[in-house]
Amino acid sequence: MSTSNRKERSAIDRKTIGQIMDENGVGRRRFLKYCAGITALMAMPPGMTAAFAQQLRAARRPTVIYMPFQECTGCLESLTRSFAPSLESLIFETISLDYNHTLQAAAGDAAEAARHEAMEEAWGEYILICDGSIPTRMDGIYGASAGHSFVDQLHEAAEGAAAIVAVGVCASYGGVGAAYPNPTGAVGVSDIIKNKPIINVPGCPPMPEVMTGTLVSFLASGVPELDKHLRPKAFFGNTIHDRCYRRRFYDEGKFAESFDDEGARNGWCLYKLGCRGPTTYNACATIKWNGGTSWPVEAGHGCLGCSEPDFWDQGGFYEPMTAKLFDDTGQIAAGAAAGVAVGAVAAVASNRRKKKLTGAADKETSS
Amino acid sequence: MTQAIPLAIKSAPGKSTTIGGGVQAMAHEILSHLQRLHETGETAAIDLKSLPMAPDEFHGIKKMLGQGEIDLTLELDGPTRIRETAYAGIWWIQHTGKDGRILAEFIEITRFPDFLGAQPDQIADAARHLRDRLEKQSQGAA
Repeated sequence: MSTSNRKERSAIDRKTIGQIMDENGVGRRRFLKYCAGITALMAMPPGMTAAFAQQLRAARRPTVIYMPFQECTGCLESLTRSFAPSLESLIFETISLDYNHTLQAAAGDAAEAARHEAMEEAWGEYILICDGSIPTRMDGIYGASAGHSFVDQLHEAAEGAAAIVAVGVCASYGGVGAAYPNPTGAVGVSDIIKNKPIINVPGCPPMPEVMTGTLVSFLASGVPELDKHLRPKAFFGNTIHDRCYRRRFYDEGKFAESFDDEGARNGWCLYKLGCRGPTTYNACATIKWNGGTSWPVEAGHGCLGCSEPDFWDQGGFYEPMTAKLFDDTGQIAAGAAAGVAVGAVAAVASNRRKKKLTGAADKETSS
Repeated sequence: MTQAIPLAIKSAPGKSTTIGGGVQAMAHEILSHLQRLHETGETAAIDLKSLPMAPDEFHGIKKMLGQGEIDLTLELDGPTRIRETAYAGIWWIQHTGKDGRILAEFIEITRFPDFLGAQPDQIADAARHLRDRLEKQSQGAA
């Protein structure tokens, strides 16, 4: 981007989103409708929509730097499917996405120069989006771009950021890169950066609307309320299981035992087929995927738990959650073994008691 | 003297609808909000997309509430439909995108939906524009 273009864009950046909306002829009710969709996504009371819209209109157009690290581009694929073609695209045109080496036309030195220029201009104010895990083993040699390791690039970009949004389970907690035996020493952003507000938006990939909703809510009201894994509570406040329409079958003890049995055909609970819904916090059950069309459980497959730390290492995807009580060799884990031993002793005792009673009853019958 | 426009309720509340567990729970919630609106003027809204409902339950609620006098459709990047149910003060609002996807869906318990009202900053802008226009006109006349 030329210096004159950048100056012109900087002038635009000083405008509020409301001013840009007015200039583009976006009516207030159209904007309010967009905000109604966002507040509904965030489980905010519907009565808050007008106040949210007012806050968002007053927000300034932010500079956004999108840094990809050890990633597969699935998160970006997901993100791009959130906002076209609708008013959301306009909202995102009002965000100045100054660096994303997958989407931008510039490459090589020109791209790096544009990133540095954008960072300098908005130092201390830009939003840094990180995608992918960061390899740390052997001084980060497993991941490098433009002659610098990802670790160094992250430190540099984080220093001038107002806040960091880690998109995807890899940027949040290491994801597949950090799966056992984690050959590259992959970690999430929050394992390295400790002095900046960090919002994790995990998932493999994250839900598109959760990513855009988090960004828009950050623009309107700053860092949202987060859970212990730094996820916005608005989207990650409930388990999949709590919001699942199949929950009633779990409560009734009705489970599918295989993917083609009567239980599966009747839409019963998928817990025994490995569903991680009870321990997974995400919004899939209510927002759904592909424009609200469906979601994995509705399509007949259990939740994989992709928004949770270490989800790759939680045992087989088609084993019930309790299967992880067993270790790699198939032996029962120590704690579980103790519990099972107690249970086994109780079972033997109970069996003996039963045999004794049966035997006594037999004797009585024969006599 | 002009005659009142004959507005009629298009469908009576579904008396024959069997109210199931989920529908009944929501009906009681709506009733408590409606009573509060009547007694204190306090408005409320229920976000239908946030509730894990089976399709049957969703249609059950819709059928139970019926259709009232007002049914408006606004074209705002896709249709927004605002319907008054057969019960005064209970509104069904559905925001749909250009692609037909439902963006948000609410039941609002209020005298009239907030969405239809002009926002304070909109009113301020309108007043400024009208004043400017009148000033220009008066300058032109002078």
